Amino acid sequence: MLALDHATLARGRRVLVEDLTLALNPGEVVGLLGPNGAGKSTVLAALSGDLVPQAGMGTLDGRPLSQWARTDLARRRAVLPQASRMAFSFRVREIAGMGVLPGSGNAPATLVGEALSRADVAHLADRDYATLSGGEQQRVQLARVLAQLWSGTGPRYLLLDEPTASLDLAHQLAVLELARSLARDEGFGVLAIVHDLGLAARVADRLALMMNGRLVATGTPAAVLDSETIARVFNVSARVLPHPDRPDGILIALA
Amino acid sequence: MPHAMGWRLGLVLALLAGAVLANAAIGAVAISPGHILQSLAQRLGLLASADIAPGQALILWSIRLPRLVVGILVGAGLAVSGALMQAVFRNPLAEPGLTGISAGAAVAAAAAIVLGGSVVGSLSLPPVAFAGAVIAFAAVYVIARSAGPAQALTLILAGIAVNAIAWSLLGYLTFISDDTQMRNLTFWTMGSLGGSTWSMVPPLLVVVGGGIFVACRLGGLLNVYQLGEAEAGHLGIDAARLRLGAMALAALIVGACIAVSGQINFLGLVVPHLVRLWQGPDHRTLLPMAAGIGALLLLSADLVSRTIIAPAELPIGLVTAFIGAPFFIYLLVRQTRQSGH
Repeated sequence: MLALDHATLARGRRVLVEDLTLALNPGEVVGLLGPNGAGKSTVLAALSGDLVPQAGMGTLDGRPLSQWARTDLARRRAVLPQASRMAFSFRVREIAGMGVLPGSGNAPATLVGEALSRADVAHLADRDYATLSGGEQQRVQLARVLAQLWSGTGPRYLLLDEPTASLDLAHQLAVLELARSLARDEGFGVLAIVHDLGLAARVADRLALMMNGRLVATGTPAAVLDSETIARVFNVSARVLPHPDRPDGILIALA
Repeated sequence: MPHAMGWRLGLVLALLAGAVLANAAIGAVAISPGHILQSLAQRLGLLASADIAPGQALILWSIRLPRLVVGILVGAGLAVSGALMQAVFRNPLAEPGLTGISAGAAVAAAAAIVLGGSVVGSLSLPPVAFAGAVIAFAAVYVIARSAGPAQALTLILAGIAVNAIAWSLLGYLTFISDDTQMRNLTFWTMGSLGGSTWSMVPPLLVVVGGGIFVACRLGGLLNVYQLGEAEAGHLGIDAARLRLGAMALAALIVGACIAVSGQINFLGLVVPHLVRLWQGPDHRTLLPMAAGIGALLLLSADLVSRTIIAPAELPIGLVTAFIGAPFFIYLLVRQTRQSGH
């Protein structure tokens, strides 16, 4: 389990997140929602081990993240950043290959090939990364992160910082469906920061809703998202309806 | 070492061998390649005697060969440290001078020359210049760190500050120097392999040769570092340590190079670019290839500097800057265009 336990998170002297407790279990997809400035990226940074809580702690398997060796942590969790620029003209294949951890025993070429096709960028394998569109670059980074997870060991966790940000509609869904199948088929715990409530409700097992550095609600999409909460947190009036085609699914209709 | 670089490395080594032979053969006294090879074979114990005039052998062994060996090490060292700096700053326009190393070496050498007779002056120049380079780098790093976590930007700004101080000191030392001292000073600011001796070779081999060897082993890590510091950290790499280590390595190598040859501009900047254009940005092959091409280009530049206004000698830094600067402008324009679209 990857978790934050009563964590207070600050950057410099500014406290951004207060007393937040959140757990990510193997095999589940958690959607982290909230308006801009709610503290979502800060929570992700703490879960990844980049940001050490001022109070409380981040843990993996019950052990504080700060006590994990960097290399051991790398075998257990991967992080997809929002956007990555490369200074030099690396090929897509080379970038995905950077995710393969040393000494993992897997054949890197096979691993990279599989990761590229799962992220739907196999056809770009020999292209220069710098010449790709933002959405394509995002998917290449996703392939890199997959290669890392597949060369790791034990229960693994994937942290996605707005994985759908620069993607078209089809790829938004494809990436989140991929997250879903990684959780279901390979038992990875996936946490994704998502802005689209409908998309989040569609793929996440649980939603965690944040506002002003605090966790407002957590639970199944149907339990977390109702018109009152959406109005309070996002300042948008919307109605939540049962999904016509998906049992237990919800539909968010903006007023 | 990935085998993809096989034939390229072979080609570079062949060209390097050609450059070595040309540098050994051409000069005020021409020595035929046959005589050179015989003399080499004789020293290695492969031949009982060599058909070479004693005067020619003297020139070959006490002037040209030490200059060649120093030239190879300096050229390789400058190119590798340029590649290291560009990797660390994730910027193709970075070069070792950014961290104040070159200026530090020049000031220390100038102080020794101009304030000669004092404590510094009694030491020989290369160790003094080397110490200056290391001190300047340490100053840049300490300043950058005290300003917060040593980020690329604070390092560059601290480097600019230390460079400015160093160049003003150098200006002052030039201002108070007499004619002979001024002549000696130009050696440090324009560069020359003319002072090469065999005694320089062992320390260069240790610092530059050893440094290049270590640098080449960092290639895989430096590749991953290109993803970003946080991303490299997520993949299990201690990015801060890698950056400091690579920068310190570059500082040691460049410090040693400048200590024996003075400032040689643009080689460290341009060679990594040439290699990237030729075979891509993979640092596992980039670093060794940069070493080979750096050595090749510096030997070629030295041949030009020795022969173009013979019997006088043009400072080699002028040759490399004259060829390197236009290429630098080209790269600048190209990069600006690419990032602007």
